[in-house]
Amino acid sequence: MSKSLGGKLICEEFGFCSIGKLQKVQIPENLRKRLGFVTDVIKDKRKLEEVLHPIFVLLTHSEGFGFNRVVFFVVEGPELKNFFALGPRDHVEGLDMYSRLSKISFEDCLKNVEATLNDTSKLRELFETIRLYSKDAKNPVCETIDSGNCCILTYTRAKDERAYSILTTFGSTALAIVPMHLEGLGVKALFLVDNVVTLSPIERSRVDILSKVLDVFKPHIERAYLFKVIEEKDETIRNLRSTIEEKQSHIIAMERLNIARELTSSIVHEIRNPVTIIGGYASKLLRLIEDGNMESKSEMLKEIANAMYVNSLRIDNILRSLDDLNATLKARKIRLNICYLARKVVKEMTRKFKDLRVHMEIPDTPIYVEGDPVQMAKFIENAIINAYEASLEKEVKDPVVVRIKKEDSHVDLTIEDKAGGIPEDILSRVYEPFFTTKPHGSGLGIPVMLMIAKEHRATMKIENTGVGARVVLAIPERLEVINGEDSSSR
Amino acid sequence: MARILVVDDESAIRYLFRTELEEEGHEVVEASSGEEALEIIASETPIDLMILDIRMGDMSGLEVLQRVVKEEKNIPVILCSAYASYQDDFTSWLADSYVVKSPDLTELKNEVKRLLEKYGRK
Repeated sequence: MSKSLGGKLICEEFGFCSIGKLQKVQIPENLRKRLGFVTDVIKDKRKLEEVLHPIFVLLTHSEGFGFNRVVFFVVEGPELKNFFALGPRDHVEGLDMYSRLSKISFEDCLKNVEATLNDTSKLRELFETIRLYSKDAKNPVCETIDSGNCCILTYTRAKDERAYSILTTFGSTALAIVPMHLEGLGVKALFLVDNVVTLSPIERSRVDILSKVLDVFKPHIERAYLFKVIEEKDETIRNLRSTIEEKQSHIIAMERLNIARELTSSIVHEIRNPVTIIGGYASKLLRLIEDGNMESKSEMLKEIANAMYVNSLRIDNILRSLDDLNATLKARKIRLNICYLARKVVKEMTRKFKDLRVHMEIPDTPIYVEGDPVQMAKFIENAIINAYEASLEKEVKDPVVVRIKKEDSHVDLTIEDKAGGIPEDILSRVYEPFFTTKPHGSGLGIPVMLMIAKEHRATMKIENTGVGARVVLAIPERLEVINGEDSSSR
Repeated sequence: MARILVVDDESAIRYLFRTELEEEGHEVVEASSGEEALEIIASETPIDLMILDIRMGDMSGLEVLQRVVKEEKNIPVILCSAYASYQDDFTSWLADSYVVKSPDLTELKNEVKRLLEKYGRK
């Protein structure tokens, strides 16, 4: 039978005492002083263990509460998980431990974590073998957690199995359980204290004081637990991030494979056509020679020879472009002054093409990007050639403009002409490999530029200006590393 | 003798096929695009067989093929492409034959012969 005794509930027949309402207690002066020490030590601590250890010292040291051992449990999923424990595994170990610890003062224990933590690993081992299920109705520890009330289990009153099994599991004659709900985090936890060495009973008044003291520490424990949760979440995020990175590299590899597949398919088509023509005409030629009487067929022979020559040039052109493409596949990036590179390319090209006029809007101060000089030069060269050839075709005298401009987080490299622009209906097709409007174009110039852009994580845009065409390459700016910090964070 | 329509956007290929097929005694009509091919088919002179390239400018050979089949023109069609991969396209199965372009024209000529016999148009 349960009977109510002025706010406290004692369930004698179960051998444990559930304390409903706490009595008003005064924390004794000597304890109050040590409480101050402990609060001082833990106030800046972030790690749960670092917060719990000084509290446990207060609970177990003879100058504090003087309990023999203390365990902190947290409900994690269906189980009660032992988080931290201090004390001996059994009576014999306890005698040894306390003869050693009695020589260490309370303050030293607080400072010297190692001295008191010596044996805790063993104790943790012990508690890890004890599995308590939070939904186990037969278990008074779990019932305490659910009710939120303190409870004392005593061996003398342990007439039923529930209290008896818990006491023997912990090897105690008396146990006090103080639940602590970390409401802000939605976490249920409990402190379990006993006197495994002295076997002395646990008085109700001491549990009242204990409960009040632990209430003082609750915000600190809550804070440390929050940091633990954050750290675990960080770890999860880190793991996720590395998974994403791994997946991304797979995607990049797949993309490359797709580009290669698309490209080889195009190459097969582009080469098979001229090969069909050359081969077909060659075999025709053979038959004509066998038939004799060549003079009467001179017109036909001329046509055949011409078709064969033109088509061999086509293949040669494709192979040249493939060489360029090959070069883009193995980028070797360095800290590259894009201004210097652009000037150099323009200089070389104006030497090569006598009619080429280039107007440069390039700053004198160096602008650095992470880039492969060969590829970047190829990019600028291809863009200038396109602009130059368009200007020649349209007989436009305006110079090709090469402009470099530093934006917030990237560098814009622009090449534009005034040759009328690209007809809208073909603007979207210019990126296709082998698409060309020029009689001897390979159709690989812009695809090569696109691959170079991708290789540099840059975005490439081809647009009409109204009077001409413009290519803009937005290259991410190189992040300068100074004293281990990157400049972008400033 | 049959009337054969050669559809290819490349004049050199058309010329090659024309001379080869004319040697075999056929009459060859050329079309440089899908639209032109459809115009020729729609005209009154009947076509006995069509050799059709796939990748051409605006209208692909597969589109031409679909139109020919849909309008029940009853013209045997040989797809002749530089791509072997189009054989995986279901549309290409509508054609009577698929020949991958090659300098050796024996296969193409054999297919022309086989189909003309099959359709009784020799």
